[in-house]
Amino acid sequence: MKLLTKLQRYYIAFTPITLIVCGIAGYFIINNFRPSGSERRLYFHKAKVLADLRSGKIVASDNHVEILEVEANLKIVEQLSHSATYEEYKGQLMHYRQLQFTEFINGRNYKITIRNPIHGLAEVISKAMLGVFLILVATVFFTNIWATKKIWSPFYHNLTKMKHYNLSHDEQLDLTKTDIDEFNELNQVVDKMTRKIRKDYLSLKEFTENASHEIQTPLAIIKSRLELLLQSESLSEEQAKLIKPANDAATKLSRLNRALLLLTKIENKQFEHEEQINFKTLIERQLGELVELINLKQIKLEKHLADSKCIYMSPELADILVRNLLKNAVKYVDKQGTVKIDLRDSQLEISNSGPLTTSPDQVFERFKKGKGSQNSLGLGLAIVKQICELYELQIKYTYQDNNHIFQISF
Amino acid sequence: MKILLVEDDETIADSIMVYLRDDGFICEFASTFTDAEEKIHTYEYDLIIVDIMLPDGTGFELVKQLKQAKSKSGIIVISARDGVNDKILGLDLGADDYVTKPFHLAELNARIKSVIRRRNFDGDNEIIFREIKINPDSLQVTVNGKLIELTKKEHDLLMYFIANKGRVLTKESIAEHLWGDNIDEADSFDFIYTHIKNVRKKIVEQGGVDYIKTVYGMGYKFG
Repeated sequence: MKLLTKLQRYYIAFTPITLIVCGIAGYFIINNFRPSGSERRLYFHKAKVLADLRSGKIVASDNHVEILEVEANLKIVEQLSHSATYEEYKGQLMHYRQLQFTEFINGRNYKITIRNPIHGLAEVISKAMLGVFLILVATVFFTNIWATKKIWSPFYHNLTKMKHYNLSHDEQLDLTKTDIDEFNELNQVVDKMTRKIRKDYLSLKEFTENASHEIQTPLAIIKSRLELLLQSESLSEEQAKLIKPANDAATKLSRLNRALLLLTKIENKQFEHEEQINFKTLIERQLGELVELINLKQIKLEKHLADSKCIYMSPELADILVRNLLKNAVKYVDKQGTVKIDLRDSQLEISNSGPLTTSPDQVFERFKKGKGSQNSLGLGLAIVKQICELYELQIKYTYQDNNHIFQISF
Repeated sequence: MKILLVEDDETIADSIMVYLRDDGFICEFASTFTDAEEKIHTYEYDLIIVDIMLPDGTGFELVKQLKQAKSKSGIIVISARDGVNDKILGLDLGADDYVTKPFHLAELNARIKSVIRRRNFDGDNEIIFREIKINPDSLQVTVNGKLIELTKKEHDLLMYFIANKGRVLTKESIAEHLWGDNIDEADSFDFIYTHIKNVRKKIVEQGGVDYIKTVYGMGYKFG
C-alpha cells in the first residue's frame, strides 16, 4: 500500500477511539458537576415548600419554585436532574439543578419543581472541552511519533545498510522488504544499481589482474632468454650490443606495465587496507634508502620534520607517495643543489633546486618527463596526484626562485 | 642439491632450469598442481620453487601442504601478481622467499642459494671462494684470513657475485638486487661502479685477487 494510506490507517484507528473515550468522560464530568451544597439547598427548599403548602400558605411560582396542580393519577418519583432555560433578560442560557416530584397535599396533587441555578457550568464545560482538545492533540502527537517510527523504521534500516555497503567486500545489498509501495520501489532501484556497479567493478578488477599477468609472463620469457643469451661464451661485442637495448626495453615495458596497473588500481579503489600513517617516520625511512644517492650527488639536504597529523590511508600508497616525491626531488636536483623537506602539522613541502624543465601545468600529466631522463616512465607524479585525489589531499606545484616546490596539505 | 620447479609456462621453466643446471643443481620440473603434489609427497627436495598461478590450483596450496607435512625443503614462491597481499600470504604460509615476474635469473639464483644456506646450516655456515671467506650471518669478510670492512651494499654485491660466479651479470640485475625498485637507472650505474671500485680495492689491499671482470657493454662477471 502507499505510504500515506498506511499512515492514515494509524490515525483512523486512534483518533476515533480517543474521541469516544473523551466524549464519554466529558459526558460524565459535565453531568456530574454539582457544586457542593446545591443539593442540600434543593432538599431544604423542598421541605420548606411542602411545609408551607401543608400549612395552607399560598406559594407563588417563580424561577426557583414552580407549583402546578395536576391530575391525581400523575405520579413523579422524586427526580434530580439538570435543566437549562434561556433567560431573556439575561440574554443567555441559564443552567439549573432541579428537583421535581409530585405530592398529595391536602387532597390535591401537585407537581412541584424546585430549581437552583448552577454557576460556573459554562466554565466547566469549556474546561472540559479544552481538556478534550488537549488530549486529542496529544493523541495525534503520539500517534504521529509512534506511527512514524513504525512506518519509517524499515526505511532507515535500509538506509543504514546502504551506507555500510562496501563495493569491494559485500556480495549483495540485502534490503528488507516492506509493505509500503514506495519503499519497495526504491529498494528495487537501488538494488539494481548496486548490482550493476559491482559487476562493473569486478569486471575492471579482473581485467587489471589479468592484464598484469598476461603481460608480465611474455616479458619474463623475453628477459630470461636474453639473460641466458648473454651468458654464451661465444658472444661477440657486436652481438652483445644488440642484446642490451632489447633487454632494457623489456625492463622498461615491465615497469610501465606495473605503473599503469598501479594507477588503475588506485582509481578503482582497490587499496582497501588502511592505517594511521605517521609521515615523519615514513619520510625518515625513505630518506634512509636514498642516503647513498644523496651523498653520491653531493646534495645538500635540509630536513625539518615536525610531528604532523596522522592520515588514515593505505600504507602501500603512502610509501609510494613519499617515495615518488623524494625520488623526483633527488633526481632532478642540480649538481650539489639543495633538497628541502619541511613537514608540519598539516602540510608537507618537498622542494629541490634546479632549472625549469617542463611547463608547470603539465607536471602531473602522464608521460611528461623532465629533460635528460629518457629512461624515466613519466608516471611518478601522475601516481602521486592520483593518490592525493583518492584521499582528498591538496597538492600544489610551483616553480619559484630556481626551486621546484611540491606542497601537500592535509 | 635437488630442486623442484613448479611452473606452468614451459619456456620460463626451461630458462630457469638451464640456468640452475649450469650451476650444478639437479632440477626437476612439474607443470601442473597435481603433478607437483605427487612429486612433493614422493620425493625430498632441498628447495621447491612454486609459481602461484597454476592451471589446476594455486601455489599457495602446495606451500600449505609442504608445511603440514613438516617438509624440510626451502620454498620460494613466484608470481606475476604484484600485490603486496600475495607476498604476505606466501610468506605467512611459510615460504622462505618471494620473487615477482619478471625477475632476473641471477636474482633467483642468489635467493635460492641464500634459502638453501639458511635451511641447511643452522649454525655456522661460510661461503668460501678461494681466498675470500664470507660469514653471511655476521657479515664478516676475510681475505687471506685478514678481516676487511665492507658496507652492507658492498657485502650484498660480493654475495651476489659469488652466488652467480662465472655468469655475466647485467648492471640492471645488480641494481635491482641491491636497491629493488628504489633507484633510477642512470643513477644506479654510477653507484654500481663506485661500489665495485671499493670492493675491488678492499680485496686487493689484503692481497686478494680481483675477480670482478667488466664485460663490455653488458655488465660484470665474477671469477
